[in-house]
Amino acid sequence: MKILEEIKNPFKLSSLLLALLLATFPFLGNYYILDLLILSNIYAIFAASFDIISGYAGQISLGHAAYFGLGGYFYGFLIDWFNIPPALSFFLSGILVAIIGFLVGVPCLRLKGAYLALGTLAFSETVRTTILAFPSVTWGQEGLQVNRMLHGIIHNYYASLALLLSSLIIMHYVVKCKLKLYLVALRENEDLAEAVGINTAAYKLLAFTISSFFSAISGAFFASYIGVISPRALTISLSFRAIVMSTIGGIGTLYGPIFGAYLITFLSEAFRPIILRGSDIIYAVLLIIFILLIPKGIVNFIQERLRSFLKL
Amino acid sequence: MIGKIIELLINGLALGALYAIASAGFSLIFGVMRVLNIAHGIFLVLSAYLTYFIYRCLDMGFIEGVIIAILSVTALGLLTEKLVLYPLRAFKESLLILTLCIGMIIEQVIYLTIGPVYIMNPVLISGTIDMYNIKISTNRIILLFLSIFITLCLWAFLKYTKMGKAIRAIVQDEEVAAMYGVPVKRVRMITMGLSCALVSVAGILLNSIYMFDPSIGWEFMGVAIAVAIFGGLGNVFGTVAAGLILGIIESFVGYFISTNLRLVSYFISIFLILLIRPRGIFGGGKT
Repeated sequence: MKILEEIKNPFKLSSLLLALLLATFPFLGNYYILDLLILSNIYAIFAASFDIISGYAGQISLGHAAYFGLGGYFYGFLIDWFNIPPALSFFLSGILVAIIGFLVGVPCLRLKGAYLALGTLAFSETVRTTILAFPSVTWGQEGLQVNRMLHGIIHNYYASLALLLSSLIIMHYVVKCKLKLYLVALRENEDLAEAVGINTAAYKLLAFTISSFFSAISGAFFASYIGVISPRALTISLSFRAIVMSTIGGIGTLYGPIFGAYLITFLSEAFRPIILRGSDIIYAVLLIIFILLIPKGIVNFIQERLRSFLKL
Repeated sequence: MIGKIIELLINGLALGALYAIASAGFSLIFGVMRVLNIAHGIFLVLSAYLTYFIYRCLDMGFIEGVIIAILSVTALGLLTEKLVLYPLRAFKESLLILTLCIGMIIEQVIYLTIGPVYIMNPVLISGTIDMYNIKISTNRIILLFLSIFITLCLWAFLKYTKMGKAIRAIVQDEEVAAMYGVPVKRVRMITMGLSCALVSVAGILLNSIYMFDPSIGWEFMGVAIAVAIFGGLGNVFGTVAAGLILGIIESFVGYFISTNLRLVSYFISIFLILLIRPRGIFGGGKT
């Protein structure tokens, strides 16, 4: 019954419909669009996982790319060093990075607001420079060659779609049903949440762990799809993308970041002929506009408009 | 061996003093405005690039380049305060992301105009001093003295001038300071200008030790974060001491282990500090 209630919500129904619509795209046979869709799906998981920390738990993370990149690197290392089959090492990398997320979360628990943002930024820069420091293992700037999990763009497309939907369902279940109130309490007023007896530290840690698991999974899939993972996947530029995608889509909605991921991926492709390297500049300007004018993001904005329209 | 250690110590001190200057502004801005200026690291890179651009591309003198770079970075900082930080001060957490946006825009503008080139400013005076088997480049000695001089000026400014006292008052408690007649808006402007001037000097000087590329600003941001957390955010004197300590750690880690691991040593020290003394080793950090 609960599932039925969930589906009744028109917004969720429409998102399911959208998913079905996307499933039919391969029949168009346009590999270029397909490639973009796969990337969008990967970024969508990444942005949604960022949303768990920032949107629900209200903790600003400026170093989310660290988990994404680590996921990709672990995926490659597990295959290379231990000969673990790709599909297994894909999940293992997620679990390993979740453990790292947990360990990073422990000192970060002591941090509030500003300090947390700083700590995460410092962490991601550290991971990046560490990877650059051992070029004999990680191939430095060049990037690590990674075995692909799936061959063929159509397979990858369906896999990415399935991954997006399944991780979305899991994240939705965990965050919206089980944890939502605790995390939102944490976001709105941490001291008060603590005062009414919510174990803020434990829930923050849980949010960190879940979020790092899903970003690692998206990173591993990215590595497997592209076939290479380089330190460029760990730069602040990618963490920034996560912020842009979830803010534009609507922070704290879980579906918003997915919309944002699609929008940003296609937008940056559209702008590619105009500005080759500086797509970050467009993101930055967009983000400023959104923070100032539509801080709740497109999804919330449209939802509110729809509601008031239907009531009229 | 002793000679090598003294050498590393002096090199580390010179580096640390530069980090201290660069991070003092970051810490000061947080103390006065309660805003983390994530664009701070990019200001550092921008000043080095401007100097390079004026000196190499426009064929003007190095000193002119330095002066113009410092002035324009300071002006940019003041503009940021005037247009973004002050009017939008109610945004709090989004403000941090806005400064990140500003940093991104500046970085990309450097990319698009000057390009992804590595730059290195000329050293002030080349050559090495060789004494009792201790070899130190003259440049580092000069950097050390320059940064000690700047730090002393900053210290004297904060300690003895009226404006310095006003800044410290706001760091302690903005509302009470405002009640006693401290012109908060003007003090904020001066703090911003001061910290941008400091960071641009540090950028130009650091550029004679390290090669810069446009995105290295984020790495230095990591360094500034480590230094500021180590010394306690908002505590300028703590920040200076922390800069010196971390500079020495960096120089030893760089010699005995690997230069690329310097940020790792920083992160480990942040990790430890946060576990032991979350408000910095000297306390007084603001939350």
